[in-house]
Amino acid sequence: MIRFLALVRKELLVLFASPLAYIVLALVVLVAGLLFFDHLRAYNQILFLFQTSTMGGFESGTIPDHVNLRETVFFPVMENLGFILIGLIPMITMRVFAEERSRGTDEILLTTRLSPGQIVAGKFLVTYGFVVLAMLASFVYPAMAILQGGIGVQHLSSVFFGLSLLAISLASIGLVCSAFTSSQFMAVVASWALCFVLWDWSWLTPFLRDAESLARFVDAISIHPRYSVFAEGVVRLEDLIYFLGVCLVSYALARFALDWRRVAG
Amino acid sequence: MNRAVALIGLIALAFGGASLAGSGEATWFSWLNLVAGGACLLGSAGVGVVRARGASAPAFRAPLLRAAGRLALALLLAVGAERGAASLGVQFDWSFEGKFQPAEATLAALADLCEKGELEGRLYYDEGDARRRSTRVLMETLAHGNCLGFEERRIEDYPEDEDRFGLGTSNTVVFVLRDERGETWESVERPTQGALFEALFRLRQLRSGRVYVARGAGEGDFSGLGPTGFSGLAAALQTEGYEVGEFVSAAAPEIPDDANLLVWVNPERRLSDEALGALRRYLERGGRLVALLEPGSDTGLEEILAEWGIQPLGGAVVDPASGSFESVARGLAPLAYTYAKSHPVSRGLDTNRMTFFRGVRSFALRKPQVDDRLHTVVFASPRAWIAEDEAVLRHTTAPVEPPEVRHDYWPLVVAGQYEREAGEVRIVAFGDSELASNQYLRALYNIDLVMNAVHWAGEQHPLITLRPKEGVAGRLQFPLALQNTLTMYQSLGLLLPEILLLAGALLWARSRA
Repeated sequence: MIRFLALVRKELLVLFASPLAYIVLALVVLVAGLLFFDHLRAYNQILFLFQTSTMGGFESGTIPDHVNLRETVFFPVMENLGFILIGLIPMITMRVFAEERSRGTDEILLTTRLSPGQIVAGKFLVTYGFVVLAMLASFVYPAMAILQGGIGVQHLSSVFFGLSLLAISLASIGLVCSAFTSSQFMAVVASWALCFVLWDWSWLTPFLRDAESLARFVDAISIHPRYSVFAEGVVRLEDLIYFLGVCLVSYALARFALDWRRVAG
Repeated sequence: MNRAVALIGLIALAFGGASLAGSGEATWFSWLNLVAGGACLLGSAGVGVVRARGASAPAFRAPLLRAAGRLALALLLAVGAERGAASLGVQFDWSFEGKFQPAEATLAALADLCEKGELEGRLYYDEGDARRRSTRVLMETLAHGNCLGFEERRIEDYPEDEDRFGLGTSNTVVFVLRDERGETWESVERPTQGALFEALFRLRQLRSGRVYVARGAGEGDFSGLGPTGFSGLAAALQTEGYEVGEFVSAAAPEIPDDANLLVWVNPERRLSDEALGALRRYLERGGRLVALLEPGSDTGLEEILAEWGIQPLGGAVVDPASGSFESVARGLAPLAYTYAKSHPVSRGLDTNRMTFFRGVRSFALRKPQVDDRLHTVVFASPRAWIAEDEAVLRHTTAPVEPPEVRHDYWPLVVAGQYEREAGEVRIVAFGDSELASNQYLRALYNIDLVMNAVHWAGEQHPLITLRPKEGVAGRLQFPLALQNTLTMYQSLGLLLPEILLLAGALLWARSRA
């Protein structure tokens, strides 16, 4: 356990000693803030137009149901932020395994009395901690403003929970890509591609009209629909397990990569 | 090299998918990318397998097999656990309005339809419609644990359905029922749980009976679409399986024999002797009546109710426990939260499920015969008192409580059950009619109270239920002050990233030094 904690400490030091971590954190917060402010400005404009003139068949002063803080501001911001994480999170995960491998320091790690499982677990845990911190930082601003509008703490918790699970899953995929290569460039590009491919398979469903079970399967493995449920304020055990499953399989894959490296070189 | 090929395959697959998702069409670009991507990934996997064979010396084999076994186990565990959790259907509705909590009534309607035949729910959508997400979660919640099959269909992919179901807009749900009568369907364009419940109810095609609504003396207008009309109640009666007919007292000497129930809503004028006679004879032969009165009215209905032990009191109930509402002063529009616990009419209603009365009179109960059963179904709060002059309802200030006034749980809705030789008589009397008007029928639990009274009076007990409610609390339609949010944005939205970037720059400079 002491060795494992030492590994976690070392990983934390490496992470926070890198300017990249701060750049990614700053980018996440900045993007969340910009998105929120932009949507809020548009929302206020739409609201003003509906309140003062006849628009879209609605009588003057009547605001249609869908123009509200939650659906016009908060959800689109969270939706876009979720997608933007595909771009940002692999930038953090790309170096975790690949850098050690390119420098050859993974050999040293493998010769310590830490098992490959412990090494992988340590790196995963530190990365998860970092992405949750990033989500917390990005969430504070929209959450504070939306709380003014009375969306409810429970609903906000559900959205944050979903956002964090999404970020952790994307980080897991990024870590797997990093574990299979010594090139950080390959790791980041592979993570982007893989996260993007897994994001939403719904584009396939029109081509699967005659294969309903296949359509259901591709839908079930998509990340985005799972995240959407949390955004609606519903916490489902199956979605929770889906995200945990992505982490588990990613852990097993990363460990397989390490075992392969140890055995086959 | 092999990994580079795999990477190229992934990139090509991502761009092919993006092209398909973006254009919605399979173009040469998307096909080329998808085919090339797939080929690269397959090739890379093949080379990987060949290499694995190369590394299959006995010394390597055992640890690699163990690693592969662990991987397979993790995959199996993840898929198994997810499927298991999906079949359990455990979920927590943390949404602000609690709109994904299936209502008892919706589940009962689904269970009934499942017994009748095969039920399918289809969500028709256009690409990019954000409302689809919410509807999908709602439909998946409803589909769990019963026969309802749920499917999503893009409208443009099913032009035949567009014509058949008359799909006018995206985010439309169509329920299709296949039973021994053949195939029937109902569509819902604004699929809230309430609207879905009503569609399911229509699909059940229940024959609950024939309801007559009295006309001819300025009664509530069941075809009136305005806020003071009662078309909402007429629609609710039809949805829940009643045929609605009119009884015009001036034109018909008797209430028709096929009437399961008579609804009499606040006549403006005094009823003719003929009309009152017809009502008396109807009740004496085992009739069912739901009467909605108003404070201060003297129409003749009051006399008949009194003959059956339900004596409408003069004046209006003032309930200081209720605040002011619209132009009505404090206490004059009571929110009722005390109900008879055991009576079917108020089943499920409690302190959290309130009903709203906009000016109400009370009743005194006195059994005409020992075996008769008279119950107060809805009470005012214990702080309520009766203002003798119903003119207080027109005042804009709260009435002043006279000294030594009696505070009590005044009855607001009462129900009577009478065994007579000709049959059982059932009467429900409301001290207010506006609670059932279009303006207030769907406020709080008013529709449940009124419809359950109808079902009880008409002896349709299985239909007594609490209907799904529409959440409106989440529709926050006010501007967030830009100046405030700008200040927050500058203090938190910009300051935090700036500090983080400065920290990163300092670290970089230190490492360079």
